[in-house]
Amino acid sequence: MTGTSAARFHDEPIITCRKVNKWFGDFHVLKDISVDVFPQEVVVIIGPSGSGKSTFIRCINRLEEHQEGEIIVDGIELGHNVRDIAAIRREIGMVFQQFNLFPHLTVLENISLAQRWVRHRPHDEADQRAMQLLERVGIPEQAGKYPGQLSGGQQQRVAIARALAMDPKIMLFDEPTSALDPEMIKEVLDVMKTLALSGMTMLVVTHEMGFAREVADRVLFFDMGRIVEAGTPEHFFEDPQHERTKLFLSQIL
Amino acid sequence: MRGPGPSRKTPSSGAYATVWHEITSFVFDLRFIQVLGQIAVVIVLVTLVSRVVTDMLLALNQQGLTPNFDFFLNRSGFDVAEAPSWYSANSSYWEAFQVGLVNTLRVVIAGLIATTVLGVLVGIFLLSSNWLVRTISKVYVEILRNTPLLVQLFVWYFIVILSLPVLNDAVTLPQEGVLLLPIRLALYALVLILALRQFRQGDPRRLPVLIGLLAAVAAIEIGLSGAQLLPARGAIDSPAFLVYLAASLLLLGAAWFLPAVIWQSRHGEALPNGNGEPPLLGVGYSRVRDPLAAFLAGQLAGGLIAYFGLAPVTALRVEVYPLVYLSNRGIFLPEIMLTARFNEWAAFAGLGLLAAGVIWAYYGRVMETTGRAVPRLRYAALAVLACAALGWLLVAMEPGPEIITVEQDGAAVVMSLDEARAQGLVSLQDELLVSRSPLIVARPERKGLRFAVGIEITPEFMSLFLGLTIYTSTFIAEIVRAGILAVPHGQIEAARALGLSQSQTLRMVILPQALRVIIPPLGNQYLNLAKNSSLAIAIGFADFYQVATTVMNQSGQSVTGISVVMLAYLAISLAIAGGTNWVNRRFQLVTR
Amino acid sequence: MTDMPQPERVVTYVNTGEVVNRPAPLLTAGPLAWIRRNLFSSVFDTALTFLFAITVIGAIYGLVNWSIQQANWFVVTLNLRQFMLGRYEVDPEWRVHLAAMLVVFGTGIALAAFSRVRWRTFAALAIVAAVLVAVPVVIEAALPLPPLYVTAGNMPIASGSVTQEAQSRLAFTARAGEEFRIAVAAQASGDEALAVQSGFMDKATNNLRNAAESRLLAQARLAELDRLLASDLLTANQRVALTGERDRLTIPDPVVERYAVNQAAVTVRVLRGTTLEVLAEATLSADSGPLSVTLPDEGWYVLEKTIAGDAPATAILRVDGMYPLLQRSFSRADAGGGSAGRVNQYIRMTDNFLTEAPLPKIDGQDVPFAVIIDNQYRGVRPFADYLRVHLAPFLKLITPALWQALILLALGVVAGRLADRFFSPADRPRRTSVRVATWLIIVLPIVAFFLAYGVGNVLPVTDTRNWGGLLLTMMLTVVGIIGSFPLGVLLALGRRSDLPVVRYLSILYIETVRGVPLVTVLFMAQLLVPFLNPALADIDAVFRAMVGITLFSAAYLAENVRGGLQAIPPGQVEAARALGLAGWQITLFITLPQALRAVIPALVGQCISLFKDTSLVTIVGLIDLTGISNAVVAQTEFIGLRREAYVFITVLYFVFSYAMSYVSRRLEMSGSGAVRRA
Repeated sequence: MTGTSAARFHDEPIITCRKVNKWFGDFHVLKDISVDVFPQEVVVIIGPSGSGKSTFIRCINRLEEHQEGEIIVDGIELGHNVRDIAAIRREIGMVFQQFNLFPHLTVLENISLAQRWVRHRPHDEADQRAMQLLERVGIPEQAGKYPGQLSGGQQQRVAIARALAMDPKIMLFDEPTSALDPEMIKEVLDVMKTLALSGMTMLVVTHEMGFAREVADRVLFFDMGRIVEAGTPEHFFEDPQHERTKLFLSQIL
Repeated sequence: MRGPGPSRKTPSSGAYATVWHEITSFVFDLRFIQVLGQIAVVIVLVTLVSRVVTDMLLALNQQGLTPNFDFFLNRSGFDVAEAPSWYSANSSYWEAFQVGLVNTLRVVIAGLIATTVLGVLVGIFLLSSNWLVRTISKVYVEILRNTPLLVQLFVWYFIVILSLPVLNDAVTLPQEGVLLLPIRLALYALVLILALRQFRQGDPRRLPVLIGLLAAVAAIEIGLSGAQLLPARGAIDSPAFLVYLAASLLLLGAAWFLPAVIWQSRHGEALPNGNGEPPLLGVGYSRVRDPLAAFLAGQLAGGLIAYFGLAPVTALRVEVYPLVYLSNRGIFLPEIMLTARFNEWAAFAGLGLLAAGVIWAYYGRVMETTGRAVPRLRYAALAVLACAALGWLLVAMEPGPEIITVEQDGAAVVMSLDEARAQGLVSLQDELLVSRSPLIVARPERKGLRFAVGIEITPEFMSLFLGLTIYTSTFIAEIVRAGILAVPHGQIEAARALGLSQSQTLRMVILPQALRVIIPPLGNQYLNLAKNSSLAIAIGFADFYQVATTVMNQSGQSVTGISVVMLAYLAISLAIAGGTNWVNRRFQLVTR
Repeated sequence: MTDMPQPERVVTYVNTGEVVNRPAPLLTAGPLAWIRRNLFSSVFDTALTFLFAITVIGAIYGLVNWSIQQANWFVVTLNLRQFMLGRYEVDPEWRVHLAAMLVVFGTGIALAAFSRVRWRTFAALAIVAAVLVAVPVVIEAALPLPPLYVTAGNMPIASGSVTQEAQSRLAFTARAGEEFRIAVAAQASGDEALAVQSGFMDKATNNLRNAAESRLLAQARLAELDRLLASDLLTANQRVALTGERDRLTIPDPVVERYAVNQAAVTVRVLRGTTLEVLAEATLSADSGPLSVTLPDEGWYVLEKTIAGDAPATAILRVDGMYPLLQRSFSRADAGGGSAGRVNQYIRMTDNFLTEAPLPKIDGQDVPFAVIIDNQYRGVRPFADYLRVHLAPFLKLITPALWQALILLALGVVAGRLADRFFSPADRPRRTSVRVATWLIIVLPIVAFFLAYGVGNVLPVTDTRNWGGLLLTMMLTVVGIIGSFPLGVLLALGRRSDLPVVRYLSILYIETVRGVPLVTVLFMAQLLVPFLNPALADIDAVFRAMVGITLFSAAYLAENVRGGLQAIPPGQVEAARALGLAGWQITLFITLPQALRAVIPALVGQCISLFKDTSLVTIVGLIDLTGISNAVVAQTEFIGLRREAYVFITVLYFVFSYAMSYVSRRLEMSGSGAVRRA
């Protein structure tokens, strides 16, 4: 199993975490997290709420600061160096649970703003790229509208397009479907599947077990700030080893 | 695209790149940048400030006005319009500052209390279901908060207060004179009030009694004033009275028994009892008959009352003396003074307070342990009142001097106290010594162009107080309105559904939630009122800022002076902000 | 009870009949129900209704009555320029007008952009404006000007302690072709008529009138005292006081008899002011007709009036065509820039007719003229006189400006609509006008300021010491808001900064400024700064006040903006950071735009309070709208007319700040200020 995986991911890992520890005040959120993510791999992180999975992926683009251990993304170690942080953020796209679209900008402007100011693309080119991505996520007709005028599913697809517009090497998804109505979840998951098939490296925190089973290369299970189980979806869902995992799966499935 | 030296951890990086990386990672370290930035800010600021201060000191030194605090002890040399007796032109600047501060605090504290009351009232009016009340309150708020406070102060001072009549023609409240209070009218008023209450309670039998009473009294009054119908008032053998009595009784009896008799003869059964109430005098119930009989009974009773002089024609003669004088020289209020017996009474009152405390605590525990509802506030208040009243009685019963030495036509004369009082010879000081009651209300007493007794409110204070109070009240009204509206209507419905009464809903559900929204902006308005009190200078009220300006002009110590002013206002602001924060915290805790 | 018939038990009531909607009972719908519900829903409510109604009706009645019968609105009409511009120079006045017009035009564009203004509104406004134009014309055609009563006589006239001699000569101005009529007044037949006489009066006539009035009052008081003393409703004090008053009270002889009013004939002559040639002459008595003259040309005339014969007598004359004059004197610059000396202007208060011709002289002495202070309108003014003397001239004064404003507003709306039609994309039909209006809101105030102030050589710089009135109030507000904006935003950002030094410095500044009154800040700017550093003393007082207001306002603005910043969900910043935007980019493109939109209502609110707070510059000696009204009523001609002046500026303040608060409320309600979320 690891053999096929290793064969597929022959490269250097694109994300390397070694003994990452983080505290919120006195609360130990992440405990000795060590994990490698390889290019084109889709890693799904699941676990009960409060287990530190969101915090973990937010550490990867330094929305949260970790106190111990090292995180190396695409060869750059995350520290206090502002240039490094900026460089890493350019390589990582992120999609949030609450979409976090900019309500004062139109859909098109939402997507083109960062392209122009971070990637320094000309206005026209940024707009073209934005329209292209909107077509890819299936909503080109909404370009002139404001986020408030869209449904939740449409907003999340715009958010994905916004992240993709930066041509990231890695995409982080922080519970992208949790704030959506059931019929909208599918349209977002479809976009994410297409993205996974296109070879994007993805870290996905989600409660969508179907998605994990279908798309994930590897599933990580977080509990109380530790990774208590990791493996392929088949392995994880059919034959969980850890008691906590068994309990979790028995409750959720 | 990456910068020249990203900290790429690849083995291919050379030694040069490593050194470069070391340097840049230091320069681009977020913490380093932040510290550097802050140091830069501090340096720039310190340079600027020291430059300004040096320039300033240099200029001041040249004029011989180096800032210092020594001048505080110099003689002030000016009078303050509204100063306590210990202050004179010979007092020091420091004392002048104190006088100003006390004046500011006086107007601010009085203003805060008044504006809160007024603001809450107007806020409630803004939510009134009465269209007129609502609209007028809205107009009041809009007009007053959309015009500058300064203009309002000018209007209050120059147009309202200074247009009051001169002292000789002062408006007095109440007006001096003799009131004739006809007791009869008071009795009728009582009946009217009872009637209104009955009307609201809605017992069908009581209202007619009252209407009957009124009708009869009115009829007799008209008869009396008109044709002298009943000359022999009060005499039992007056023929007219006997006729009235007989006719009334006859009518009453007929009204009571006839319907039953007629019904019986027609239907062969007793008069049915409408809604299951017990029959009165054994003859069933009738919706027409009962009220009619009641009316007649009332009419009979009214006649008796009027006839037998329970409603006498005589009136009480009451002499009324003014308590309040309004004039363009100021407003003069009565003063409540403590007599020699006050301490004794205060002991009783203190005892009452103590008892109230004990009662409060005791019933508090009872309520907690048994869940029984006890009106402990009422009990406690009753204890205080009872002790105070009892104390007053006992203190007043204590014998006092019967005779007194007074000055009459320049000579000391010994006469009895009552006589001296009747002749108005007892001075206020003596009265305080010999009075039997623990407190006396001293009416303002004019001595030429001033008032010797009584509390004086100057036109300036009054204008500032009115201006600040009314201006701020409009903002408070809006805050109160918004605060109450912020409580979702569902809350009120839920409280009603639980069976809470209107006042309970207000007290336990609406207010706690509304206050949480109200208190923070209310604190802001309090701050505004305190700061706006500095506008006193425009109308010549000797507040802190005005006094400070005078001090600065005289001593030339502007820098020290303005620092003292700013510190004082900052302290006041801080005190108010601290107070509201404290209240706010308590409220958030209590309600959570 | 048991034998009583039980009602039939209804289990289910099935109604298959036709459905008929009955009208609601009388008291559940319709105007009666509204009145009951909204005014008399309970006993307490009814009492409140009556209390409020009586109070308000009383207040309104008092105000209207005062404003019609007593108020002297000349203080407003004759000083309108001062109220508007202070002592702003005459030559660059057009620049202020232009600025005002531009602002109105911009407002029109803003209306087109942000509101659904309908043409109906404009039609209604136009009708109102037309009525405003028509009203004075109608009034002037229908109603005559009230006469000026002057007294001729050869005896001193006493009223109280004031004694007054009748003037024998009086100069007045007139336009060419005006008719001048003079006759013996009919009102002077008895004291009762004399006491209620109303119209313009010279001092002597006024004394006669006052004497008659006080005699009648004394008579009434005497009757009142007798009535009071006869009753037993007096305290001992009162009885003593009233008896004393009764003893002191004396009733003088009837005024008409004492001064032999209108009993002797009067000789009157009308002279031309320049040549002193006699235009008309007559001897008038109580039953003779009036002397009527058509005055040939514009300028000064002199009226001479003397009692015929030597017997002591007086006569009250009713004069039509002669009205009180306001004298203004000032120095004027000549064409070369030098001083042309002092100029005297004489303004006829009833129609603002103005002449600069010198006063006529007789025997080398200036003839006294019908000066405004001595020839006030006296007595209770009838409504017709109010319309003719006060309302019509005031309306004539302001209607041109109103018309201009209305037309420019309409043009602005048209311009906005046209721009949208040609330049806005179909899916956002108002984009162009919104953009233009937004820019104008920022640019127009600056343009207006520099128009009023001047720019280098193009527009000569004006002296700000002359700025005053509404102009100064507006300028202080505008500069205060615009100036405090950048500083306030910086402070708000500083207060939310991660850097402790910056944060605490911002907090220190904000809280210190918010903790002290504006007066102290203005005091420092006005009196302390020049005293401390002579270099700063050269800066104009107005600019120093502007700096003080700006610094003060910035702290409050910072708190408002901070409120907006706090309202932004943290996810916004996270998303921006995840996209790789730099800190300043996040602030500029993401947080600030949202925060500012959210706090627009609060910012308008701050405009209002700043607009009102600018009145405090009065305390440090500037002549803004509040200050100028104090200055105006300090002139001898207008002394004691504070009420009128304050009512006028109160209305001005109210109109502007209510308009702003209306805009703010509309923004809050429509949510167009906030970010579109739903």
